[in-house]
Amino acid sequence: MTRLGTVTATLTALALSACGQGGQGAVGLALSGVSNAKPAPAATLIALSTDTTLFSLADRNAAFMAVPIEKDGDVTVWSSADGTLVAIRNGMLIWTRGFGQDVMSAQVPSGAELIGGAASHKRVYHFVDGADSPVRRSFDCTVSPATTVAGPRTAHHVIELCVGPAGKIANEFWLDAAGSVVESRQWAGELNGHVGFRRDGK
Amino acid sequence: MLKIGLGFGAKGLGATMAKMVTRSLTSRILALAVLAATAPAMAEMRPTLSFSGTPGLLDMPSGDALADGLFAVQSAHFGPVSRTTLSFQISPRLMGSFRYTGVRDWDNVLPALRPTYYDRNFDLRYQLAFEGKYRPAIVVGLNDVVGTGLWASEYIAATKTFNDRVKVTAGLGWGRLASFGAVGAPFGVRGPNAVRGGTLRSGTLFRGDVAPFAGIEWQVNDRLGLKAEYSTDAYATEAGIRQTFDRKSPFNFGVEYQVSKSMRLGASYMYGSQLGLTASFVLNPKSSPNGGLVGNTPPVFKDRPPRGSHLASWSGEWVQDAAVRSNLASDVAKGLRTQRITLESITTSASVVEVRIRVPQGENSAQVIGRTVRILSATMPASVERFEVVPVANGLPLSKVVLARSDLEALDHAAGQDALIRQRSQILSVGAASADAQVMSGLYPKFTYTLAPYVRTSVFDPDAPFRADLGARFSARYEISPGLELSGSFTKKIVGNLDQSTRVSNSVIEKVRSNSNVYDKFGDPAIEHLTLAWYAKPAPNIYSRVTVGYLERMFGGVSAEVLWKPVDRPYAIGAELNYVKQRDFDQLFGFQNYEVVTGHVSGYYSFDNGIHAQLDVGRYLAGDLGATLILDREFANGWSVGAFATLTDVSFSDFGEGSFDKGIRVKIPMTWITGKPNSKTVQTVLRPVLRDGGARLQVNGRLYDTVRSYDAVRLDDQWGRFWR
Repeated sequence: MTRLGTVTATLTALALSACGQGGQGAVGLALSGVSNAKPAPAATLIALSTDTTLFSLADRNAAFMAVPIEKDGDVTVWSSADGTLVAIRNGMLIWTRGFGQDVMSAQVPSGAELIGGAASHKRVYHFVDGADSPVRRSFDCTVSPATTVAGPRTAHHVIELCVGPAGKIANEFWLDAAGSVVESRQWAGELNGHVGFRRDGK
Repeated sequence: MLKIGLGFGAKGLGATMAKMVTRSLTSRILALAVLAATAPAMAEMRPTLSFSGTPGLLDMPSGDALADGLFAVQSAHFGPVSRTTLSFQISPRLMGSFRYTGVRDWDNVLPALRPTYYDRNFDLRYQLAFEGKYRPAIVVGLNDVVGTGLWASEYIAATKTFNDRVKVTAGLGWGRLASFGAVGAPFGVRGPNAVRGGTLRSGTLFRGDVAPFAGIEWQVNDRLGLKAEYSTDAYATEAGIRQTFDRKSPFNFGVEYQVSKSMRLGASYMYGSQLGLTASFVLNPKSSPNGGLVGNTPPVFKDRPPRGSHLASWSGEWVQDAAVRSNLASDVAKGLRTQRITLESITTSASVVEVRIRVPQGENSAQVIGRTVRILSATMPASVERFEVVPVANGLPLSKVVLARSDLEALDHAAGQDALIRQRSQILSVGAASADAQVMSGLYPKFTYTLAPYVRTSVFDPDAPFRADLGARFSARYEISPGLELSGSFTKKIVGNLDQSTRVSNSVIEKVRSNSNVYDKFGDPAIEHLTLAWYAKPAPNIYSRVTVGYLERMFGGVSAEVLWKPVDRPYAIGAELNYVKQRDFDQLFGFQNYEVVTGHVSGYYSFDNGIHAQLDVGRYLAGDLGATLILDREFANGWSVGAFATLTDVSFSDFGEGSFDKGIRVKIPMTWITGKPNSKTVQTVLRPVLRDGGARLQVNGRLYDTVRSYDAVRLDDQWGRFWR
C-alpha cells in the first residue's frame, strides 16, 4: 500500500469510527475527494496526530478529519488532508476555504452572548458569489435554551435563531459550565448547509 | 433577484434542519418551528421558455423576463420547423436573442433553391413593468428586427402569477403574430419587409393587423409543468404557400420537465397535427456549476513573531547581509511557485519589499495579489512592514499594489476583511524596477510549447449549416528577454469537411475575409501565426507593441500599437497602425498581391454597472473607412457577453447579404465551468455572415486586455477574492 493509500485508509477508519460514536448522520469522505489529493503536510500530520477533529457536512453527505495547523491568538485554523481550511474562534466558525461556496469571513457572537439570555445580537456572513462579487448576509439573532440536554454531557444546550433579509437560519450549540463551546452545528452558507464539529474531536 | 435566491436558500435550510436535529424531542419541535418559519409557501415559479427561446408559452411570448445576466440556449422543433436560439438578459429589463431557423420540405409543392429554408433572426424584448401584487409583468418585444423579416412580428404580453403555481398570459401581436385571428389594424397599413436584411425595419413596427393571443401555464410540482395556448401565428408561408405541414388548430398543448437546475425538456402537440420537442439550458454566469471554487486553498497568512524574542528579525540588520537577501529571494520564489506565480525580481530594504511577479493566466487578479502577500508574510523578516506587489505580463509592469503588513495581520480573521483591507491598500502606477532589484536568474530565454487538439467550425452556410475540422495544433513561445518573444502556432487537420464548401465569394469589394472557405480548404498544414513581438512601457501610463511576421491566417506584415491607460481610471485610448499583405491560401510562407495600410484609434470605457464599451475608428482591411462599436456585459469572474457592429463607407448593397458586419461574442472561463484553476477561456464569436466590409486585422497580444487585467477597476471588481 502506498503512503497516500495508508493515509486514506487511516482517514476512512477515523471517519467511520467517529460516525459510530457521534451518530451525526451519513459520513462520506472529504469534500473534493481525499483519495485524489496530493499528500499535503497536513495529511501526514493527520495520520500521526491525536489532535484531530471530524467536521461533518450532513447536507452534502460529506465529512473530513482535520488537524490544527495555525494558532493566531484565539483563532485556530484547521486543515484537512487536501487543504480544506476551517477557522474557529472560541468555538465559532469564522471562515472556510475550499468549500465551494466559502464563508470568507463572519461576525459571530461570543460564548457569553450565547448563554447570556434574552438580548439579541448581530451575525454577519461574507461570501463571494459565483461571479466573484462579494455577498453580505446580515442577521439579527436570539438564543433560546433547549430544556433537555441532549448529546454530550454539557451544561448548556442552546439554539441560536437568526432572522435577516435573506431568510432564517439556526445554529445549535452545546457549552460546558465555563461557557466554552463543546459541540456545535453552525450554518456555513446556502450551498453547504451546516458544519458540525466537536472541540476535542472525541 | 435576491428574492429568488432566498426562496431556494430558505427551502434548503428547512431540509437541513429536518435532517439535522433527530436527537431529542425538544430539538425536533424547535426544528419544526424553524422549518415552518423558513420554508417558502410553495416552490418559486420561474419563467420558462417558448419555442423562440425567450420567456413564453409554446409558440407565444409571455410578459416575464429572465433574471438579470442569465444566458439561455435552446433547441426547439415541431413538424418541419426547427429553431436554435441564444438569449441573454442584458439588464434586468432588456433581453437580446439570436436565432437560427430552418424549415424543412420547403420544396414540397413549389420549387426551391434548397429543400430546407434557413434564416437568422435577432429579437429584442423590453420589460415595461415587473410583476407586482396586482400588476402583471408586461413585456414589449420585437422579433426578427433586422432580418429579412420572414419571422417579423411585434407584441405586448402581460403575465400574472397566481399562488406561485399558475401563470396566465394575454397579449397582442402584430405582423406574423397577427396572421391568424386579427381584429383590426389600429396603427395603419404594414409596409413590405426588407429584401436583403440587416437594416432595421422601422416602417413596419406595430403596423397592420393586430390579434389577441393568450395562454396558461400550470406548475404541477418542482419538476413538472403544463402549458396550453391560443396561437395567432397562421404559418401562412410554411403551412399555407409551401404546405410543409397542416395547421389544423390554433391551440397548442405542452408538458415540460425540469431535469436539473439548468436543463428543461418539453414535448408538445402543436397546431392540431404536429409533435414538438424542446431542450433548453439556462446558465447563470453568477453561479458556477460547482457552486464555486473547490480545493486550491491558500497558504495560511502568518503573523510576525513577538519583537522581544526575535530581535534580529525585527532590527532590520539582516538587510546588510547579501547572502541573507539572496536566500530570501529564493525562498520567496519557491513559495510563489507553489501558487503558480513566477518571481521576476525582488527589491528589499529593512522595511519595504517590492516583488515583481509574472502573473498566471486566467486567475482572479485580487487572489493572485493575496496569495503573494501570504507567501511574503511567511518569508520576510519581521522588520519588513510594507509589501509592494507588481504584476507583470509580457514583460510589462501593470500596476503596484501597496499593503501594510500590520493591516494584513490585524485583518486576516476579521469580518468584512476584503473591504477593510481594500480601504487600507493603494493601487499605483508603476515604471521600471529599481537599479538595486535582484533579478531572478534562469527566467530568460524561456521556451514553452503545447500540443493540443483544435476544432474549427463553419456555421450558417445554407448548403451545410454546420461544418467542422478537427486537428492538432502545435503552439510554441520563445521568450528571448522580458517583453521580446517569438511565437508561432501550426495546425494539421486530421478529419473534417470544411474543404467541401464550394461557395465562391460574390463580393464586389476586395475579398479580404469572404474567401475564408478557400483558406480552410488549402490550409493543411497551416502556419496560423509566426511572429516576433516586442512589448515596452516607455512611460508609467503608456504601453507599446510592435509585431512582425505572419500575423494571422490571412494577413502578414507589421503591426504597431500604443496605449495610454491610467491605472486608476476606467478609460483608455489606443492607436494601432498596420501594413499588411494578404497571405497565400495554403498559409505557408507566400503572399498574394493585395496589400493595405490599416489602422484604428480606439477608445475604451468600463462603466460601473459591468458594461464595457469599445469604439474603434479607422481604416479596415478592404481599405474601407468607418467605425466599430463593441458593447460587452462583463462579470468579475471572466464571463462576458457582448455584441458588435461596424459601419463603413462600403454601401449596404456593395457589402451584400446582411448589409454590414455585426455579431455577438461570448467568453466563458474554464475555471467557472470546472471549479478548478484553469487558464483557458471558451470564446465564441458568432456572425450571421462573414463578408469583406468592416473587417479588422486579427493580431495577437493587443495591449488593452493585458494591461487592464491588473488595473484598479479590475482589482476592485475581483477584490472579494483577495483573501481566497
